[in-house]
Amino acid sequence: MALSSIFTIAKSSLFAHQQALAVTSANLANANNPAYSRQVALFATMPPDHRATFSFGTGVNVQDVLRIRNNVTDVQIRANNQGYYDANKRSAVLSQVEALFTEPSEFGLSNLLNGFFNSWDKLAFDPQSLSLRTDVVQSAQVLSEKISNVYSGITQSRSDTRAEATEVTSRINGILQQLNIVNKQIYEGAVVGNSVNDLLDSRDTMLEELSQYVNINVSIDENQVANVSIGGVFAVDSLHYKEFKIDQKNDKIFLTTDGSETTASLNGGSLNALLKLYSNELPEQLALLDELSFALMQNVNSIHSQGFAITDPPLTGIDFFTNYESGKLEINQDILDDPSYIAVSEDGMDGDNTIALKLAELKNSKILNNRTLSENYSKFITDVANEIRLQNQNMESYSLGLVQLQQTKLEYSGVSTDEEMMNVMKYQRSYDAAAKLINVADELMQTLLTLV
Amino acid sequence: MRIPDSLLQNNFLFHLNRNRKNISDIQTQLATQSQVNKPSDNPLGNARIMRMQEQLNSIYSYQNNIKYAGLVLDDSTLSMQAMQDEILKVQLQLTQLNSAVVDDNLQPFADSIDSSIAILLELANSDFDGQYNFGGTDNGIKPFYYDEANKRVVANSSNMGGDRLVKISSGITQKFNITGKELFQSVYSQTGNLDSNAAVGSVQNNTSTVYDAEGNKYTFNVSYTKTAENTYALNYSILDSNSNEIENKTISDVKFNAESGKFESIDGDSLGEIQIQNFDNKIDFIMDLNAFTEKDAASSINSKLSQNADIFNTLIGIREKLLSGEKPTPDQVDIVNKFNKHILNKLSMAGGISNKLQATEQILTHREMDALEIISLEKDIDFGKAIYELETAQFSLDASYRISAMILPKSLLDYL
Repeated sequence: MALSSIFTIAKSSLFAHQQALAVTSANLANANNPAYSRQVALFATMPPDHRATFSFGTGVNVQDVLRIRNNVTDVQIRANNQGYYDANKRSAVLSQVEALFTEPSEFGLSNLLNGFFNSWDKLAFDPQSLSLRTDVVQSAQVLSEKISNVYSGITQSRSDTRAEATEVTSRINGILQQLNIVNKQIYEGAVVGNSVNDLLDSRDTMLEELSQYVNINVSIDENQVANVSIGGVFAVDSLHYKEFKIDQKNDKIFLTTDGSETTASLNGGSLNALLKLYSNELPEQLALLDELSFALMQNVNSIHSQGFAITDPPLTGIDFFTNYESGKLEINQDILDDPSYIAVSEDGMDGDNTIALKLAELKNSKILNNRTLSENYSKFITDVANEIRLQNQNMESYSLGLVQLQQTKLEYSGVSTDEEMMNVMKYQRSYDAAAKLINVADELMQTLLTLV
Repeated sequence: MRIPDSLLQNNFLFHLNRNRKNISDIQTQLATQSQVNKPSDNPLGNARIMRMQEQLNSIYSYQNNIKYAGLVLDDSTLSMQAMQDEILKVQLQLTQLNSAVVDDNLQPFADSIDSSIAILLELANSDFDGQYNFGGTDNGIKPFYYDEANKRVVANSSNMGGDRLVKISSGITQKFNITGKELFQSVYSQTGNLDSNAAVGSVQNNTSTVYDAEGNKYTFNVSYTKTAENTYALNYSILDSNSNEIENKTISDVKFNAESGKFESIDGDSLGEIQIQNFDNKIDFIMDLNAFTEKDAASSINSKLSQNADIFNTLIGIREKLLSGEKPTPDQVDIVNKFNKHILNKLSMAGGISNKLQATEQILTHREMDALEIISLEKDIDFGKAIYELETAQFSLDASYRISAMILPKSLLDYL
């Protein structure tokens, strides 16, 4: 074995540890980059120099720079993301709706509905009183305004979910386009044997973001290319990607592919929540409000129209509410102009209060779904509240799962400055040792040369 | 196990946020003094609060009704007590009339009776809060007035018998007035039933006795001729003691409900009253068909007279007699005496209603307390507990800050 081989071995060590220090430096530089997966320089011994009876080592090199990543955790994070962001979005929108009802408070629909019926009770005491008649009109106006506010609030929330669904879809399309580009770069890098670690980090970050919006299925091929489908519909690979759009049919919205019109079957992510809120939950709430308001109008009118107003001559057959449509409960304009048009008497006598008593008693009548109007409303509010609570619990549960998974991910892929500093010292020592070795080899060479 | 820097940071941040969320929740509860600030804080609790709040609103409404009804009833009772005092005075005058020393001087008695008539009329027209106490449901106008020309008191109201009703509890309405009809008027109530199986054209009869203002008896014949299913022509006639017919009238259209058999209308009017008046003979009473029915059974027609004659016209009759130098007849005195008992009955009736109102008010007060307690249990925060929890959460937060301040900035670099 030649003396010069010591120089070669020392040089390989210098280079290898210099490269390892570069990897460590990159780790330290990205210590606070959440998308970054720590990398490790994989040392390998260089092929030995075989002699007749011995084999001599020829040095060391960095065989590969490994990206430390646990794919199983990534899959679990994506699955949890879908559940968490679905529950999060539902909770957020339903909480907005919940706030519209201002329960439990004196301004809540429950209290205003009660106030309307109680105003009839008061009027029953003094059927001629114009101030009590005006009180009935005002109670009806406040109630009507509240119904209108709640209705328009829910309608606005519904419209907002539609707009947000379009924005989210646009973002999904952007991610799919970027994924397609990154997939291509990963494929090209993999084919020529280049390191694609940073591209893989970028890809995984995009997949994680995508899983916040929709339920995705990801399969990674042998070239590290991610083939992604959204709700069972092909979305992207290294060759193609699909554009998605929000489609509307029968007042419901769907996520479909642009062109082939294939509908994605969504069951997770914030976009799923937006689609379901727009198509099912918010329309159901509007329908319940319609049902409640309609029942109120019809039942009040059926009693009120039997009574006599205190007009001259006493008029009968007057509807208290003239129309209900899309949250607008309209009070008879004649009554608004002149409360004398309110019918309180059943027989036309001034002091008769039968109609007012019947209308006040309507509060306790099971006129809708075998329940009183208040019971229907209470069930409605309780259902909304329970749904929010359920979504909050789901969110909390997914959140705890996500925290655990993120910790597992960090445990595996996160950069530890302590560990990296240890590596720095380790590689520095080895670098020093290699340099020292060159010195020793040089001295040996000098000693040898002085003999000549 | 590897503990990278970001794991430590994220872990601290997660727990710091949880602590801060806890503190925020407790602070909201302390500031609003309520555990339930929105339905999703406690859906079942919120539903219970809404239900109890609704119940409370109803209770307040019922309490208000009872209070007002009590005031109206008290005022009516005061008027009736004053009437009774006046009737006692009249009775005293009538007793004194039997004394021999007053035989030649009846004018002061006539004046006294005249004064009593005026007072009774005033009391019969008493009002509370702009509504006449004895006006029934037609209480916007004075129920009675004195017809100077014909020397009689006339009922001015078209539904003096209407009950004023008030809701005092869920599904319970209570009458709170004494009507002019039941207090002052002579009401001939037709009771029993007509035979619904009777053929069209068949006649069902009833004969009874009615009285004039002087207490004289008359025969009152009523016949119902079936004209169609559930429909009858009503004919009534009044015969004096000599069997002379002094009144005869037919009402063509008395209807009964086809299903329930209950009285429905007279000539399309559901009031169920026929005013029968013969001023020449001082006969004035109301025939009331509201309790009369038609049913699948043999005809059984009965009648009941609330008072033989109304007090005003009886007293006017006494006054007129006194002015003409005659003493009142025993029948007239009997009507006055019976009115005294009648008014006592009505005072007792008012007392009964008043007791019922008070008993209901007590029940409502208990229910109010129960509802308030349930709302308090669901809604109100336990201050001590909340402050203790706030202190604990604040301590946890402080500890987290201190620990993170001590640990997070440290790394191997600090020791190299």
